[in-house]
Amino acid sequence: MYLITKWFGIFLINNKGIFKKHLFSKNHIIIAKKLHQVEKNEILPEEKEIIRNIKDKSIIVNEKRLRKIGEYKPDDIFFKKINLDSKEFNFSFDILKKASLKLVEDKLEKELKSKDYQAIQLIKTLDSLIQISNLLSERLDNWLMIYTPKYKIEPFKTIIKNIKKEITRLEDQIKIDIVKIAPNCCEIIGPIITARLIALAGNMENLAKMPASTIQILGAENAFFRFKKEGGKNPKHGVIFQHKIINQSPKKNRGKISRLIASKLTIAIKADFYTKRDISNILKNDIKIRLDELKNL
Amino acid sequence: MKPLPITGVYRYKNKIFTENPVYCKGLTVYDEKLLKYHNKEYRSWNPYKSKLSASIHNGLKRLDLSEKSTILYLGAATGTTVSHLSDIVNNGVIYAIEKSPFVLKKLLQLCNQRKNIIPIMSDANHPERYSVSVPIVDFIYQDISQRNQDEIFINNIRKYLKINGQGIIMVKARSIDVSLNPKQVYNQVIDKLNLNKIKIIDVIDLSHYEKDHASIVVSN
Ligand SMILES: C[S@@+](CC[C@H](N)C(=O)[O-])C[C@H]1O[C@@H](n2cnc3c(N)ncnc32)[C@H](O)[C@@H]1O
Repeated sequence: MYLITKWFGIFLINNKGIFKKHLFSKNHIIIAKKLHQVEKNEILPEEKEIIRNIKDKSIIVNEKRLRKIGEYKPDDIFFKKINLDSKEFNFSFDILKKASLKLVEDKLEKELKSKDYQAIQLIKTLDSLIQISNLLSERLDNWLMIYTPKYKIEPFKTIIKNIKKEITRLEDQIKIDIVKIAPNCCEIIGPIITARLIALAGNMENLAKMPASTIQILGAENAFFRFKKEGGKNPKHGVIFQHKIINQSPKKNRGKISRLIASKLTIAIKADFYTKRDISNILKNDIKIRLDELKNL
Repeated sequence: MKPLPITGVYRYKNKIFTENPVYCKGLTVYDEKLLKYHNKEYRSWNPYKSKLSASIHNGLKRLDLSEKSTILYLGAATGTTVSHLSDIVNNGVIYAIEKSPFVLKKLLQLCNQRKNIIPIMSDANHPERYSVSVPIVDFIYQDISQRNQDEIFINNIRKYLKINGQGIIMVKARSIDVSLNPKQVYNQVIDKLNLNKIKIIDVIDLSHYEKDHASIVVSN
């Protein structure tokens, strides 16, 4: 028995045809809600309901989302043979159109308005500019080593100068923005690295759900962030290693300190995202005590 | 205004056009020109802004599209090409997949204006995530500059393209492998498609309009 969910309803189908079906309401707002639940990987109550009291328990599904209620076989050719046409069930295409529009509009509003999304765009732009600026400066240095006419060098220098100006401007903007949304993290690791952590996690919520061990190596896989400007060439370390509290401490302590910072960051980001309380003094004090201990070892 | 062998596409002097539906009279989507001809309105189709237009300019002769076709469009962006396909499949449907919130904002304006485009904010790397909205389709169009663009195309064909349906992929050589020359990259993609039992119908180099791009028309 195959379980297929479409925007207009849920169908149980076998070799003989449709065995059982549940059609949704024709209200596009309700349909948009169902599409949203599906996107969030939820199993719909109607899906659970339709397979209740079915004798044939071998349900086959083509969505990972439904693995809990059936055997996941996306490549079963049966799914391609069955093309359920909404019109046959009196659902006009216009309903799907309105539902999809509503769904995307809602998602966009949520995402584009969210402050972390905007901060992520800024930090990504900043990091691209830093990379470009490094590449160009390197090129210029190479150029200067051989004879090049001055008139060729000057415009090039202006470009680099302007990019650097823009980098400073962006950094200032990010500092202002990120302190507003993640003040606790900023106190611990600084605004720029905080922004990078959020960008790497995708958003604040994801970061708030990460264990310390993940935060500690976040960005390590990504050579993109390992700029000369920041130091920290070692790929074992994540972006938090770019902070001087770690990379300027004695080599033997760096592992311990980055573990310490990561564990405090998990607390800080939770406070920033969920409770929105300022606990930075407590956290900074904890860090200071532990650092002093390490020094005296 | 002479109709070309591809349904819904016309040539006038050196330019190509699609017919603006009556309900969109006077409306443009990007900076295209509107042209009145025998009481109908046509939108010029810029080959520098749309790789499908570039393909037609560079010799693409046949596409299995009709006024009623359903299209799965992967990488819809702001809808430049989508809008012309929407002219062509005036009584069909385009399922427009796009993952970036930034460009989707503009695409939504187009969807609000036109009756036959369904916007879907999703990642084409995971075709099953939109199976609740998207049915089996007549045609798949893909323009996604990612390293694994061929895999994305194959997976979507496998899941959504009807038997004997057609598809077209815009291959950007440089996003697949910068170390190879573009021809080698196209051949790599072609081999991979063949291996997956997808037939190559046509390969069009987009030189002059897009550097290091080709379009590959396929059927399954
Ligand atoms: C070159 S643009 C497409 C231009 C468009 N086809 C036109 O001619 O009007 C590529 C688009 O694909 C989108 N994209 C990239 N990867 C994607 C993915 N995995 N899923 C969906 N969209 C993707 C990008 O956000 C971008 O908007």
